[in-house]
Amino acid sequence: MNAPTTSSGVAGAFISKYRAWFGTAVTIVLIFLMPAVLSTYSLGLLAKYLCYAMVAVGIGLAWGQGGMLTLGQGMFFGLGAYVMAIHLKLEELGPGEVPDFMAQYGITQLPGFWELFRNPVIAAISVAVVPGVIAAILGILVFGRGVRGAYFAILSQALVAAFSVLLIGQSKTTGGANGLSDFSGFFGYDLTDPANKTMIYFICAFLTLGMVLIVRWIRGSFMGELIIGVRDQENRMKFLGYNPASIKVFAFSLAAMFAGIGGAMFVPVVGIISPSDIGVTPSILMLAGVVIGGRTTLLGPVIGTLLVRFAETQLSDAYPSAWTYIEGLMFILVIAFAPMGLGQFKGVWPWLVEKIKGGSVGATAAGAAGQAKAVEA
Amino acid sequence: MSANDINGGNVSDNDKETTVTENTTNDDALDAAQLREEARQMRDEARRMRDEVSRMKDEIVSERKRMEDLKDELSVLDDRGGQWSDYLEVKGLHVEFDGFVAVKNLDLTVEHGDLRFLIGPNGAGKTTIIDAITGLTPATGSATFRGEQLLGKKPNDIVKLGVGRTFQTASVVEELSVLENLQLAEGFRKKTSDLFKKVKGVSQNIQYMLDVTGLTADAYKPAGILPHGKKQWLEIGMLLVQDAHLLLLDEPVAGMTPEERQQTGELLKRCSRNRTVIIVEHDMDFMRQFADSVTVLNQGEVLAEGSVEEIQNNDEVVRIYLGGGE
Repeated sequence: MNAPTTSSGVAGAFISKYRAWFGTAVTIVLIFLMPAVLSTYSLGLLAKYLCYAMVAVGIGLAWGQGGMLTLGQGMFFGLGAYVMAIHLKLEELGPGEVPDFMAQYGITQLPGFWELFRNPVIAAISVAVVPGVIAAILGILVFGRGVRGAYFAILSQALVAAFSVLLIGQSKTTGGANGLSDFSGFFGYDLTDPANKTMIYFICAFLTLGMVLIVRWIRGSFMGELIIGVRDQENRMKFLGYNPASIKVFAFSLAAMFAGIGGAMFVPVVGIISPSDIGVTPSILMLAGVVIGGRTTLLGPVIGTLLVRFAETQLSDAYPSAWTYIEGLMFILVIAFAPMGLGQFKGVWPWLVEKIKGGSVGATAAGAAGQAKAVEA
Repeated sequence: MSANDINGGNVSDNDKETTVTENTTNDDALDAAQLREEARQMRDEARRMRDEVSRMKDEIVSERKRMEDLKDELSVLDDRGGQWSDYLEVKGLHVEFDGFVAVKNLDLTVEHGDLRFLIGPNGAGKTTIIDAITGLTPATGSATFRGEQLLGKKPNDIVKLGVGRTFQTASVVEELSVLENLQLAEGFRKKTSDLFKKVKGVSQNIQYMLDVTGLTADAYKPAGILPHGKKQWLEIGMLLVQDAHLLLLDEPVAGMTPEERQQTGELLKRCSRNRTVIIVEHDMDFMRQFADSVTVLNQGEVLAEGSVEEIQNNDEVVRIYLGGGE
């Protein structure tokens, strides 16, 4: 009777002590299991969800931890995606050639910013650095002036709206409303080959895992406390000697980098990037998974995003016109009954365990008492 | 020598010589043995003493170390850096909001070790003075602490000069534990590279301030669930772990129970021994009990300044401010 309890207690303590390693190991096993059980098509969908999950990890950090309601992550998603798309287009072109849409406008010379991303290493770095730097500049301007709360949310939404308008307006160099599409290769790998599609899925999965681990590390560090402090008591933090703006810029910029990387992987996975993928509505949808999963938790944003995107694909196939309503209903239900998202229920399991254990202990005690009475009698 | 005497005096010189020699030899043998014995004893003694000395030395070293530790512990609150030169000097402080003059050419000097109360009717400019000194409100004139000009600096830079403030509403990070709040306060001088490290353990400084503020038992509780009084203590503790030498407290005992007021007052009294403490307060009983000195403000100007008795006996003050209540 005693031995199994102890061993399960030890195992429990072991798991809780090395929970991160345990979780990482399980996740890696799952990542490698997926290609075995899913078709190439489904794997592609999963990779697409993972691209959104990367954005969600960043939103979890910036909004859940840092309190910055970023309604405009589509902009950073788009920046990363366009950098990648430009690079992939350049890979296909022979020397002196221009993409088809430019040829239609009679352009024979590639624009300067295209040439920047010809080098694969520079392109790969830029998908994160370009959104990160732009977010940092924006952050310094915005947070340095003390803009926060709803004003920041509106500003970020206005920016993403302006960005998609800009992309459409610059149709001679960005492909306009059609965006960039029809990519045949990814850094020299043929995109039509299922093996390479699996590889891209692996890249997406491990990037997501890496981002979750980075955010976990930040949450556990002093920086994590600083970010929460700035969210809840910005003035207090200022009068404790910190510069709240720089802490916010850090979180916001990192979130933008994650979104940029997500956008960059979106391009080879889906095969197209256009302003309609990054406008106001897509940006809000990027938030949906975070809200439903629980913005203040580490894994909530990822799990929520995967669930919402999966539901979106399934339900919009089955009921194309009803999906929007169903999503709206999900939103209302979550906000009404679990304002902190599904992550709110993570306390339910320990609570249940406690109840069951407590119950059994009570029963044992009662039994023992009964026995004692019997002995006395 | 006694043997020689018994042998008599009429002994030849030779004999005498031999006897003496013999005697000397005898004596020598005796003496040598004795001496050896003595030497051994002395050696033993010396060894014992050496042991003793080394033991005492060890004791002295350990005692000295204990003293150092004790001094360290004590210095956290009482000796650390506090100097007579740590005083606040405000000259010609002037704050205007859209033409409304909140503080008018104000001069104020608060010395090291002083517990100064700022009192005055609503709108007298008490909180505005604190806001101006800590960089929240732009102001003209001069405010120096330890010879450093505070006006025109950013709030976070002013904090680094050893100036700490609290707000009327307790501003602690409710989601973080008491300990984490104190660690947030302590970490303000951290290098950027250290920000990404886990905070390990409880520093002696924080441990001590937990004791001083009476929050040791609550260290791991979220700050949000603390009663109002303890939140204020936590906030004061946060300034103490920052090693702030000028404490500016805005109505620290508002909303506290009488017991909490008493404890807060004692804590502040203790803090003020080696710091400069300024308290904005409405509670006259609290002021009477704990103030070292008082400045009465009215419409942005100093109306009176002095000890509690002097203020209470000042007719103008009584008329304008204290009159109603007395």
